[in-house]
Amino acid sequence: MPQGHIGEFEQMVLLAILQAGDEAYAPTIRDVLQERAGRSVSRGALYRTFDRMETKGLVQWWTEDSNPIPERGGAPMRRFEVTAEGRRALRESRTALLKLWDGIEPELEKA
Amino acid sequence: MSASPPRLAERLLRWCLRRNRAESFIVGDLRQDYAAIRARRGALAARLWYWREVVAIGSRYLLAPSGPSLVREVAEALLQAPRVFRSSPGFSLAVVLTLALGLGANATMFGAVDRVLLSPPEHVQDHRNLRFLHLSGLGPRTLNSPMAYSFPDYEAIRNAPGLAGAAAFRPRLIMTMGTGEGARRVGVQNATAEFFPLLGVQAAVGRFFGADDDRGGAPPVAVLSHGFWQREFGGDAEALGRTVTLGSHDYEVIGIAPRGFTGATLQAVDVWVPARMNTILLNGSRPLENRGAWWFRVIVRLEDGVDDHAIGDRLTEATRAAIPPPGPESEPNDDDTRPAVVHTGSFMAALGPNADDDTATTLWLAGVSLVVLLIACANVANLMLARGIDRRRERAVRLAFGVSRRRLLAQALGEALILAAAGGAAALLVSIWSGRALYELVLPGFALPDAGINVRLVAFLAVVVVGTTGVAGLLPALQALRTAPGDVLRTARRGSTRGGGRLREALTLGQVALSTVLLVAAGLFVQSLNRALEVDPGYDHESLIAVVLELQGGVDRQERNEILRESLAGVQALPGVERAALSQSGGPVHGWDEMMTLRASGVDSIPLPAQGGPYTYGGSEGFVQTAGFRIVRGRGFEPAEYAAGAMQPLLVSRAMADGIWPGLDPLRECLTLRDGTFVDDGPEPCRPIVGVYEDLIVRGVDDEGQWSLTWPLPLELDRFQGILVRAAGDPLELAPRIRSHLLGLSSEIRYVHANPTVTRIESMRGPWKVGATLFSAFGVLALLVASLGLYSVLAFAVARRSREIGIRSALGAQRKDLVSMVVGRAVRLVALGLVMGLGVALLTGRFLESVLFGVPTLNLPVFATVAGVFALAGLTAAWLPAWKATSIDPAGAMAAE
Repeated sequence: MPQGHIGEFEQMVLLAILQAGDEAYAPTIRDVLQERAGRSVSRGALYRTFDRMETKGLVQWWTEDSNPIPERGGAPMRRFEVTAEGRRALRESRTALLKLWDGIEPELEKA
Repeated sequence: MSASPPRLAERLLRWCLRRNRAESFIVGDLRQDYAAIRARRGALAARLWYWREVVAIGSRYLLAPSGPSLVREVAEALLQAPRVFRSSPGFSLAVVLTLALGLGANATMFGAVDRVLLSPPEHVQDHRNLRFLHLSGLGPRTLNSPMAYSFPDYEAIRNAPGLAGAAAFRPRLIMTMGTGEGARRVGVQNATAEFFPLLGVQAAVGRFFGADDDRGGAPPVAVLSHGFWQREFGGDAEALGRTVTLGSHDYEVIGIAPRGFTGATLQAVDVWVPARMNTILLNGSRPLENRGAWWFRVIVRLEDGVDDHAIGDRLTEATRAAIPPPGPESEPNDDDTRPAVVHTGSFMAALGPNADDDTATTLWLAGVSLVVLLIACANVANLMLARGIDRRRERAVRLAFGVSRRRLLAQALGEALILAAAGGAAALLVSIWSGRALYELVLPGFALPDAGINVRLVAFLAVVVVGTTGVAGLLPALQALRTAPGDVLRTARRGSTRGGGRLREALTLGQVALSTVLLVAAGLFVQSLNRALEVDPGYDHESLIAVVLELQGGVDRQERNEILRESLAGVQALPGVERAALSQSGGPVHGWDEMMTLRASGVDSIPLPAQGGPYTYGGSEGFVQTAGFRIVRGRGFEPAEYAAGAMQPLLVSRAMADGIWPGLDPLRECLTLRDGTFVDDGPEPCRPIVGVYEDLIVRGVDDEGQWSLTWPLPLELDRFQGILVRAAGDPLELAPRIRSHLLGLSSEIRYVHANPTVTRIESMRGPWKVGATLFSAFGVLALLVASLGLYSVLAFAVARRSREIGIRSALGAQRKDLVSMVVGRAVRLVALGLVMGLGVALLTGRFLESVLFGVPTLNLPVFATVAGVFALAGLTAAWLPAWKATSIDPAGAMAAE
């Protein structure tokens, strides 16, 4: 897998996981994307993205007991965490973007 | 309601995710969201949301490259299939329309079959334990009619061990509600108090009648049907406590039946009234004590585990035990002593107003609509094959690019399924529209089903759509599989007649054959209808009007007679009336089927005819002339014979005379009539026969040799029901004038029926009219579809062979050679199809025999007509392709290659 190449959506999901911190479960991550980025994400797309990022080694997860939430009917929860690889990809992506943004603000102001 | 998501949806989700490690987490996440949405927006919204999410997530996982490949290919093919509507709009429209007609006819018929044969009437609980009782062997002739119960017979069995309950009811009576011009006809059913609890139905508003209401002397009460309540009271709960006037009596409304409830049968009932209280409705002839008043139907509920045979034996025993032993005055051959036998009959098989006939009609129509569907399928398969041949190049290219054959198959089936589904949706609309028409035409007297979409119908259509996809889509799909890319790419440019040509001809042949069968049936029914139109009712019916008066309550028999005599005088004075007489019944088509014993000197026992009768007619002076009976021997009645106290002689029908005195002169004979109602007590005289008249049509135009007898009645006798009127001009014009004249004559006259006999005879021809209409409609439809199929096969062949035709005409072929080439092919197809179809029609014709009217099924005129029609249709279908073939320019056709 070439390093540093992550899509825009993957980037947003990684950031949302970091924002959610100890609460990084799928429903919370979706809420964060919705509230902070204004992106309404379909569950199917989100789950497929988790799978893909896991294959790429950008995230990992572990199972947590769901007893405190009776609505889940005993189904376990998984809590996500951004791996070191994920953090590095985010940093690279950010650097690349910042380099590209450099000096563009005044141009955009004009429009 | 459970707070967990829909179970089926969750299982579907688990199945879609079964290869994924995240399965249980995703299921849990969705449960969590479901609970939140449910709390916020309610259960229904949450369920809908859940289903949508399952489809969205499931399809994402199934369509993922890692998903199972066959499922993925089919799913993708289905997602892409709607493109067919854009890429081939004309083809799609033709397929959808053809299927809409074929499936629509079947959906409509399924609705009827389901209602008549498969579903219990609405609101009836646990119908598997319910049985109709049939009583045979009791009475002067063997009765096997479901209506063969008298009230004492019912009382004898209703508490028998093994029964969890029993109830009796009378088939619907049509009664008049209200008075004068505003009066309406309503369907009234008498039922015992046990009726509603036995069926397990609950009142929608108010209550049903109970044992306290259902006894002699109780205040009259009524339960309204939901529909009647909506129509007459606007669904107002205030209707409870109001009164409805039925006949000449007021009934207090105590309850409303639930929506759609029609009782134990499907007859449309407006009002239920208690049977035991309501002896008024039963003509006052002591129906609750009279063993001869076989007016009730009895339903019972069996206790669990009770066997039909055992209960039949037990009820037979109870019925026999309750028959009083023959008294000293009984005649030795008294009919009551014959052993009665009780049979239990299926509850489901006896639903309709005329259960056996309606069942047969419904099944017939279902069979015919299946044939129409087959023709439609053949046509669709034909269209698909033609399109498939056109797209061989496209397929070959895709195969060459490495697309799998399985994928091509999935695509072809997916397209067929999506087209069939669109046809199914259109069929649903067709069936909603035509369902009502079907009930009105074929099943009159049935309560119309509630409008709206029936879940069972949708399920049925879904199954048929899948079946149709299989039948119509499989051949073209297999054809897709057989494509060999190299061959096709090499030959496609030159055009070829191969590839599905034979198959398409075979399909066209099938269509022609099936259409032939339908058209032959249509022809046979049209002939039957013509025969029915030619039937002579045996009397001059064309200008006859039967007038029956309904009077206010409290009018005694003597007053009634006075009103009738005044009315007779009034009617006789009306312009346009040729003559009129009082009648004991509603005229020749309303003869009374008397349960009478006949005795003739010198004849040991008179075998009564199996089809019922003898029907009795009686009237005041001039009755025989007014009715238009045709005397074939002897004479009519003398005026003196109508006088009170005179010996009343008899006229008998020809069949009756021949039946009782074969080979003898009936005018030298006499008859003793023994019947409880019409002959005054005292010694019964042997009445001389003074004349014989032509047999009458009483029950239906297929009546043959009905026994009937006629006697003269003195004006003073209080036995008249109405007036028989012979119009000088148009009876349809006279009838309303008689009605309004009589309504104005006396305030005691509540309602006047004035029915021209022509109308009644017309309705007797109904069955053949219905058969002729339906079969003709289906037959013409099938002919159109088959002709289109033929046209497309020929047109396609000409287009494919344009190069060959070009070469032929360059080599000097004449126009007529080219035309005969195309037409000859049409003739071969039609002729072969006709032979097959006529063969099938011959073989299956005997099944039609019972519903035809005096028409042989090996019927050369009908066969010849159908052949002629097809020859014409075939030539029409061949004309355009033939013309195209002759106008192919040889140079152009070859240059185009």
